Amino acid sequence: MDQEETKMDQEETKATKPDSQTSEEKSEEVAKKVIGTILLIEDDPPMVRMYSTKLKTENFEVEVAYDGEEGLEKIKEQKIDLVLLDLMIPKLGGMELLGRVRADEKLKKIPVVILSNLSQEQDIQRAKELGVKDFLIKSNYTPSQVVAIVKSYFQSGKRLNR
Amino acid sequence: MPKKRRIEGAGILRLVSSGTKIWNQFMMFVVVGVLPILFPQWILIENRIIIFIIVALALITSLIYKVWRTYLEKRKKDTSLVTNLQLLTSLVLLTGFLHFFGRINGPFFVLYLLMIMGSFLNRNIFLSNIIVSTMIFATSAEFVWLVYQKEVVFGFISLIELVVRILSIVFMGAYGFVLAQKIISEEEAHIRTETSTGRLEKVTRELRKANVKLKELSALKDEFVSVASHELRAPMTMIKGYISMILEGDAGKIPPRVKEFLKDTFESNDRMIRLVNNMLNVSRIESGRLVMGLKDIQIEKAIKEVVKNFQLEAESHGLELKYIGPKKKLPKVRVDPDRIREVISNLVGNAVNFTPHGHIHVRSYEENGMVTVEVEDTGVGIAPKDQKQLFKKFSQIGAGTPLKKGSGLGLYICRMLVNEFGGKIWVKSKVGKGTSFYFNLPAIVNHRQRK
Repeated sequence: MDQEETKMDQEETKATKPDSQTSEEKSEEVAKKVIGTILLIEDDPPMVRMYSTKLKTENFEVEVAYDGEEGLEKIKEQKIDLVLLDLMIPKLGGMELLGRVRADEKLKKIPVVILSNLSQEQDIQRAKELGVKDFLIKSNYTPSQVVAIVKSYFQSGKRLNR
Repeated sequence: MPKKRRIEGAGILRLVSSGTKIWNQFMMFVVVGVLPILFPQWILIENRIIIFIIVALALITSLIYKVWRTYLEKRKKDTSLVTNLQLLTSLVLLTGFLHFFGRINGPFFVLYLLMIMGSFLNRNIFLSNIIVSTMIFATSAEFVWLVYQKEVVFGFISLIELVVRILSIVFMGAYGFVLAQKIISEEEAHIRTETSTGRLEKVTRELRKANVKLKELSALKDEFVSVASHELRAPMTMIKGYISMILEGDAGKIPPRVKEFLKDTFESNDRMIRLVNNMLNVSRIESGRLVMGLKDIQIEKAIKEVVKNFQLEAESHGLELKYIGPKKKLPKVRVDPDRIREVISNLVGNAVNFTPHGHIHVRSYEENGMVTVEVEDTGVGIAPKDQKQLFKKFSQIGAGTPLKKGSGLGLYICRMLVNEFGGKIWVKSKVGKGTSFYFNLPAIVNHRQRK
């Protein structure tokens, strides 16, 4: 089931991407193949800069949302392959957002990785019930470790190097 | 003895509600013994029979009350004796009436005297109460009546009768005295228990209040630790993240010296992160908010994983790190796999940290229904006085120079976790020779396997 979904995602990605890219970006893409688009939902700008820098150097496209509502909108409107979600975000909390994504037929299969500094057992439990791919405590991972973990989901989805 | 019902409010109230036997007796003593003496005119007025009936009624009511009480007591013990006593009492009462009507009669007095003495010797308050009451009533009332009638002429009353009267008055006094004593001592005892219970209740109330306050404080502390820790994590994440990126060359090439400095900074920051993690853990364990995902597992698997994780680090310090398994397959243990890995990691990590050279051997075996894990090193060792402090919060003992500085919470967490799983943790060590940490967990008995 998951694989079917990812295939579908991919076809859509292929269809939409060329239009939205400038020729410059295209040439870059020839050199380094874009692995996928990550939506980073995070309200702390330095944190956003750090993770998006690392993700970009590791060949990911990065979309950023600074609060829960913006995040939900972007998930709905844009082509997102994986969501990196912080839990303490304004307007719409991370857990709430996750619940809404999971309740939505169209969105519920988007892989979500929690990237937060909250480590309450009940949060972890709840997130796992809502089917997140992973629950990463930010301070325990370097950005490259986070990216490596994110990458592993693309590999298992046979998204890489096809 | 029937369980005495505690009646709220002391003294008079209890007296009226006849909560105690002794008060009951005292009332009877007053009614039948004292009143006729104090108010002899009641008897002298024509209707002494009416007064007699009143007093007799009081006696009978009291008797009924006693019988009823006895009936209640009967359910608890064999009361054939009590039943006999009741019969006897009724007889005595009857005799008392007869005596009263027949005025003074020598043989009856002798009978009374014997009964009084018998009941006193018997220490049977129930019986003596009735007899004495009747006796006192009869003699005193009659005596006074006789005096008023000027019928008391020496010679008319035989010597024995005189002696009996004197004796009965003495008995009456003695009886009253004994009763009074008993009442006082019982009251005192009651007051003592009352006050001590009162004080106890007060202290309990205060303690309960203090406890609630402590719990609130503790919750506040937990919340503070939790919030502070999470807030601390954000900047630490940034420091960790950027330093790691610089070290990985994301910011271009860096001189070796800068790299060296940054590595130390990174390590320092990581220590802070560990401390925060441990503080969060402690606060969670202490507040009981740590949700345990208990599973029945083979501990060996967890040990092997941890040993594998530390292999590289141990080798880089020239240490031999080895897991020596049991001869027989170990029974399972019920633990939270992540948490028990944390415990083993902590012990192995400490061993690596405090062992300049030599080996670290991890063993597991079954012993008296417990699965024991041992982490033995040839490190600096721990002095006996430090061994006691080891498992306490924020204890850092000054042994050797560790490779990494700890938070002083690791072993405390280990102890809390192992205890949580129903086991114990302990240490054996010799300074300069090495240290062995042990912890055990209750083995799960699989009946099917045993058969």
